[in-house]
Amino acid sequence: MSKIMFPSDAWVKQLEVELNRSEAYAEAGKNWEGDFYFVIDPDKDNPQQESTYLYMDLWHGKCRAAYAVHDKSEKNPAFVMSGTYSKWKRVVTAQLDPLQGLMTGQLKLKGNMVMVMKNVKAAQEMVKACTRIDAEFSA
Amino acid sequence: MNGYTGKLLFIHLNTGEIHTEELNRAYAAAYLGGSGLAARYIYDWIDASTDPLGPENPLVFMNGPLDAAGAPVSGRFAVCARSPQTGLWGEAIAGNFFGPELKFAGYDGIVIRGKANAPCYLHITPDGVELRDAKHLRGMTTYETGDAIRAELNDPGLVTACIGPAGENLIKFALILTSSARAGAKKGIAGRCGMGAVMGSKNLKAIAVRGSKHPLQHKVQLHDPERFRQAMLAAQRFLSDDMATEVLRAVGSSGAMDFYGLLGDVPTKYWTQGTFDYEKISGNLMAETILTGRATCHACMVACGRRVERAGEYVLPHAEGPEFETLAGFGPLILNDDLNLAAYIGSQCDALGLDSITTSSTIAFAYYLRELDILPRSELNGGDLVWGDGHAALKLVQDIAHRREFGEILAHGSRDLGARYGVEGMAVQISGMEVAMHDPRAAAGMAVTYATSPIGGSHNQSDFFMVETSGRPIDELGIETMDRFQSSGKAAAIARHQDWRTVNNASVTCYFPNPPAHDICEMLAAATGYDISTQNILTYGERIWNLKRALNLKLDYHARCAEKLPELILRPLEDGGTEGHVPDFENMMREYYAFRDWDWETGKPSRAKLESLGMSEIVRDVWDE
Repeated sequence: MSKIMFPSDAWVKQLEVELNRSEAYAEAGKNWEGDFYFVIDPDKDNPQQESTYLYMDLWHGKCRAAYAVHDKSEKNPAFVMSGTYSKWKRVVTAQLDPLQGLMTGQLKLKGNMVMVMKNVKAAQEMVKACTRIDAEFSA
Repeated sequence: MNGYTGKLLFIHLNTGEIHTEELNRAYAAAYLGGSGLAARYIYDWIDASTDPLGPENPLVFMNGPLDAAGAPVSGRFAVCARSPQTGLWGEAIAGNFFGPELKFAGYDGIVIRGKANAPCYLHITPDGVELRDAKHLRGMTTYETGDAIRAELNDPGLVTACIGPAGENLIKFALILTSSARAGAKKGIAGRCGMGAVMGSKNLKAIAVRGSKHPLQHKVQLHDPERFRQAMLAAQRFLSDDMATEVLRAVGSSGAMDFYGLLGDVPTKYWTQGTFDYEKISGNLMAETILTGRATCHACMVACGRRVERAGEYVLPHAEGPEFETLAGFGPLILNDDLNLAAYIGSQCDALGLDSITTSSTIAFAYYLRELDILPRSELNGGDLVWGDGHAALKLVQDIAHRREFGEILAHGSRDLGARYGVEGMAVQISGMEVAMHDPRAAAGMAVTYATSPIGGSHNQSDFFMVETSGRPIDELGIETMDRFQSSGKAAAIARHQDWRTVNNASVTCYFPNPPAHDICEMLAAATGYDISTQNILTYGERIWNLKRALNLKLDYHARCAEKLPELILRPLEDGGTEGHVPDFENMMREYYAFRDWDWETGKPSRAKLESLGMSEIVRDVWDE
């Protein structure tokens, strides 16, 4: 099976598959309500010229939809989490805990902070799901 | 004297004499302010024969060079003395508005000596200082005392620092609480080391301070106002965009309960269990249920203070809600998952004047000893201690403050409780100070941080767990993140972090907002005119850290006896986020001593180290020359 390029529509769809087959994520995220934009901004390690928007609709331990968005105005999600390509690469390879990334300013978040802080275990399970994707990185 | 008012206020309670002295410029230049400057003064005044609760033990309130200047991380003060809890150097740092208000009144600090014949309180304004009768305030809570003083002086603008019944009853872990009537003001808790007991031993119930009604008249002169303004704006810009600021504002310090719980960082069932429903006792649940608002200290951009009018059936005094340490202590530590009750117990600690960390830890130790049947039920006056029963803890809090029934036993702290039953080693304390609510099995650096703290097992000398668990490095100062379970190779980062937090405690700045160190150094330099930068700021911290070590040696500190981790913390936990890890304590300590250039056998800083820090006068004492 060929590797899946990060970030891409295929990658986020594979994440949807991994999340929906994860019992651990289903349990940890059972109280989560809210959709996301994950915004991957270009940096020196990334050949892209524009930010990538990955949309995920997360609801009570399941992912109801996931795809890349070309026009960011297409959705108005409850949460927007953004960072540079190199920071996201560290997150999805489990080298940077997403909460640590937020607390140290490596990632930014807009949305209900209470909901996020209540669901740190769900975030950790999501990272584990990311690591199960055989991903390819441009740098 | 730029950055300072240049005046210290001296109160002699034996005679009622009040006078001012010029601030020692050399001391300020070397030790900055807050607990650093207070330590340098107190070093000259006490020795091993000083009774912590005797009239000869000076109680010093000290603000810092950034207080009242508008710096977004400032607004705190230190209160210091020889600690009745540990017998060592004692300091507690607190917020609210007391420090800046004292500066607006014209003073960098207050030195209180002697003992009054009858309860009294101190009233300070720019127009004068007076001692007033406080017999009618006896027995009042901290909050009631402050409110009563504001009412009787008809001055709602007064900021008060008060003791409660615990301080009056000389409970050796009594606190001092600062409060003000202004809307949105957060309480200030000078909690650790029993400074409230020292205040009580002097028959001093409260200090009420009012700065000038025309602050510009008493504006503190800054060395370079424009440089200060630029640094302050840079810090404000950083903090306004900082996620940590947003998190603390949204959910308070206890919002991290779920996260720390996952990591095994929250001591549970008196340090013997690794799992618990932490979300039931967290600031996140508080935000969704009982939180009614947020509160701040002077010039704060964070607003970590929690306003809670009611917690279920309980009404909280001054609507002051709990922070992380209190919820951890009256939650997981005793297996209580009732957030409302834990919040209320914490509020009673504040009102009665008890440090919630030592109080909850001592009570939890009693639960543990009861479970092991080491503590017989016959001691408990018909009651019992069962894990999860928060109501029993609430009763013990009230009994400790009033020295009633079994509370009289607990009023001596966990070390004495363990000694009473021949199991002193089981008590989770260092030098008589109960260890704070962050587990070294989850963040190994805290083992050394706790063991070498000059005040005993405190996280207020370095919150290194933030570096290890939250990944918050300070690259500018050579403080890098490492795997949280790693033991070897951390000594330099730990020592640097202690030195940095020592600067915070001297300057007197808060640990929660963390603008770049460069901005804080710039503000300090611009305020004072001192040559301060990120290149040399840690030398200030190291100097003060070594001074406190020298002072403790003067107070008969025996490092090899004192610097031990409690045995429960060295037992691996089978469940939870610590994953069976324990710190390699002995090797970490030897690495630390080598980095500090301290002598392993005696605990003394080397002559060369002290000389390099410009402490020649201290060298003579330390090395008996």
